[in-house]
Amino acid sequence: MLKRILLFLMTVVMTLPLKLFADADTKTLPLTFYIQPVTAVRAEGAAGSASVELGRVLPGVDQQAEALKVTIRTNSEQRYKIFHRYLSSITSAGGGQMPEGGLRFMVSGGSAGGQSAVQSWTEVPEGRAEIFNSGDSGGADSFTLNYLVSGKKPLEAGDYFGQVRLEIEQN
Amino acid sequence: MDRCALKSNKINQILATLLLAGSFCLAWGKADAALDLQTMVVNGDSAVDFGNVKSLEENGDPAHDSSVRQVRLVVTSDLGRPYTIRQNVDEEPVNEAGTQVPAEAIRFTVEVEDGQGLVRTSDHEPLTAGMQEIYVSDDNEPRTVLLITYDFLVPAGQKAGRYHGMVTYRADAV
Repeated sequence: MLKRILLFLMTVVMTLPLKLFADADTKTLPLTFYIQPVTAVRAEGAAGSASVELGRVLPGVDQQAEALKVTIRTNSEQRYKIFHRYLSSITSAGGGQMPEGGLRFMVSGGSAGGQSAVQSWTEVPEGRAEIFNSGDSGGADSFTLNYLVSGKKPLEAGDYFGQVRLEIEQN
Repeated sequence: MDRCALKSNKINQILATLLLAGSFCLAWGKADAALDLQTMVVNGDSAVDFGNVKSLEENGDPAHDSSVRQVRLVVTSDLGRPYTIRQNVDEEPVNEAGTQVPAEAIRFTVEVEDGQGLVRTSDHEPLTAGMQEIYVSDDNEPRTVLLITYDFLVPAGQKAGRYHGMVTYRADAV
């Protein structure tokens, strides 16, 4: 019995090194790189500049401004939201103020699955307002932002000017 | 000496014989390590690291970034037989979200720096998933040095993140 065990063990011991030193060799290297995340929001009016011309407002007539095309370019896979914020309220050189309900806006759905948070004409709030939500996996998208000036509200004559900012927030 | 002591003695002898045989075999194996493959990343450490690259410019425009890395393979053999060198990629590199980089984005070229043999791939070949023979040595070639150049042309808009993959090199006697 002991001789059989010895024979078996000898066979194992002799075989192991032969397997270890077969006629092949292998090496593995990791391959890696990092792509920087970039997200940029661009807004363009009809003239190609980042401005919206509200046009000539006549008393009693609602005036729809040219559409502002908003494009989000990103290589991130995170969801995001777009917010609208007044930087300076719309006023005239003579001190005329936009009356309450004088400016409304509406946002279209995204061309790549994003959803509008302002689907019907809504008064533009003074503060920060959520206007757009990306699809589940984020990604590039575009939508249009439309403004409507109410001519039915009392509005002093003059050239009006204001500034808004679009902000992006990634989840 | 009783039977028990005799048996113990015999077991000790057997163990000693096994140890001796094992040591002999290991020494024999090391002395005859026939085929050896070493890898060296040129100007790098232990990884083919293309570094930080960009797929979009800061303003969101498409970027056309690229990066080059080189790996030197040294194969030594005393087999007296030809051998093949193969390259294997399990899958295209993926980021944390599981997004792959297209195979065509990373291309490689094999150059022979030392040794006689035949490169089996064309220049700037895409680094596709799977095992690929890249070189066959001549008979009885004791040493081969290959320089593999990897060109990474970052696809514009490629998703951000840390990408990982593995490249395995294998030398086999024919």
